[in-house]
Amino acid sequence: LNPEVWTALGVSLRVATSATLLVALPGTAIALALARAQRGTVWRSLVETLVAFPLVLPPTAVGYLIVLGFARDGPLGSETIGADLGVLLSFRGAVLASSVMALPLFVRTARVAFEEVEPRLELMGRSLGMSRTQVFLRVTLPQARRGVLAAFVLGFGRALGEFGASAVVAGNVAGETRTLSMAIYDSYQVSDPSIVQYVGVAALLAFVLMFVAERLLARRAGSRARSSGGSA
Amino acid sequence: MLAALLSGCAQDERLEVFAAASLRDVLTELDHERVAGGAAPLRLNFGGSGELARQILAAGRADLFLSAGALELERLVEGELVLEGSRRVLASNRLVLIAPSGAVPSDPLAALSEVRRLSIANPAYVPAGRHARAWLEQRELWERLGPRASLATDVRAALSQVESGAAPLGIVYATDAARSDRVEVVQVISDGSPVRYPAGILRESPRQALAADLLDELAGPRGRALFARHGFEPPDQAEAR
Repeated sequence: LNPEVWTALGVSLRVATSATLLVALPGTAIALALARAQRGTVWRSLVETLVAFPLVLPPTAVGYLIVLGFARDGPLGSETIGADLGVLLSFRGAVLASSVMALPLFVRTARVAFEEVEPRLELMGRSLGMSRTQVFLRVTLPQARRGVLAAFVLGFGRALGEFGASAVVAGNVAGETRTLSMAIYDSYQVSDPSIVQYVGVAALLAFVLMFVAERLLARRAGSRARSSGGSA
Repeated sequence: MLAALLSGCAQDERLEVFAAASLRDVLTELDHERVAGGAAPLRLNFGGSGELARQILAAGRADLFLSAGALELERLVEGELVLEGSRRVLASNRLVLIAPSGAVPSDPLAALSEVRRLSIANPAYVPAGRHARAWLEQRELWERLGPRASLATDVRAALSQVESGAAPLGIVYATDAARSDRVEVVQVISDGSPVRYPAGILRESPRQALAADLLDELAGPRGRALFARHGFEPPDQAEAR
């Protein structure tokens, strides 16, 4: 394998891991809030729409909006806040862009998992004197763990495949923001035969991730079918 | 109706021109002038010259190729895709070191060797990047700056990265720097290899006569005036250097 393939793979894994960790807390909070919110209310629809936004907006547009925010004269730029956050054309930028793109998938998967937790179990926990945090950690999360894990895997996978937004925000810096997807684009431009290796590694990784997510979600559905009795 | 949409009207008259990203303003203006004069609009495809050469090699659809580097056109000549004798140099350009307006370093060359991020076009497939890299190598700065270089897909993308302040310094063409009020030229890079814009007609083109007319127009007084207005230098300038 070309050593540059390892470098790009390393960058991809570091970016995707950081992005998943960055998304985990806000993503879980939003998913839980949405799962518990009454269906059909306007604010719930509004939050759902905002979260889903990056899913349909062209990734390059997401990237451009981030650049506007962090540009020198932007609301979060060095001239405005007096310090350079070092987001553009850097590892941080790649992580931020991938997080924004991974959030919708994470929230949607985790939300469904939380919605399937029996509210009765949570109520029982509360009546036994548990705090809200205890109920979440000892009842809700264990019940929803497969779905939440799948959310992590899918979010990680989305971050790993990210190209458009990070290309605009983080660019192409070898060893820092040159991810597998960037390397594939790059080597295609110059008809570099290494492209086969990049694509091979990316495909293998994507297959493993999707298979794991599939197993997590399938078994959760299976156990639900079993626990609901042998009517089928 | 779909067929009508796909075939388009007067499509046969419309020249397909693949041109280096730095030629965007010149060609867009020429196209407007031509259309105002009753000519069929051009179909313009801009990008890094290497990317365009690859597209032509893969799909062979263009009538005319305007490259920002001899090497890219050479690739097509080698592939026997360029009409013999149609090749000519249209203009020349200079590379400049730029910084965002209001953030110009007092000692540009010292700032360059310490810069956190330098934006250039990708030397692997964009002439502007190749020239920039050659200049940095000449100054023995490439080894140091290569790992800190942000490699943009074409020279206009490198300009954007400096405009937003994402990169404190960048290397683009003088013509690109001149069109933006968000960057300032810090230093003119004149000792790099000459930057010429050669053009050629594609052999497979069904509109070779029209393409030759357009090439004549670009090389003639009207084209020269247009290039000059956008900050390009005449082709012989590059020949002499």
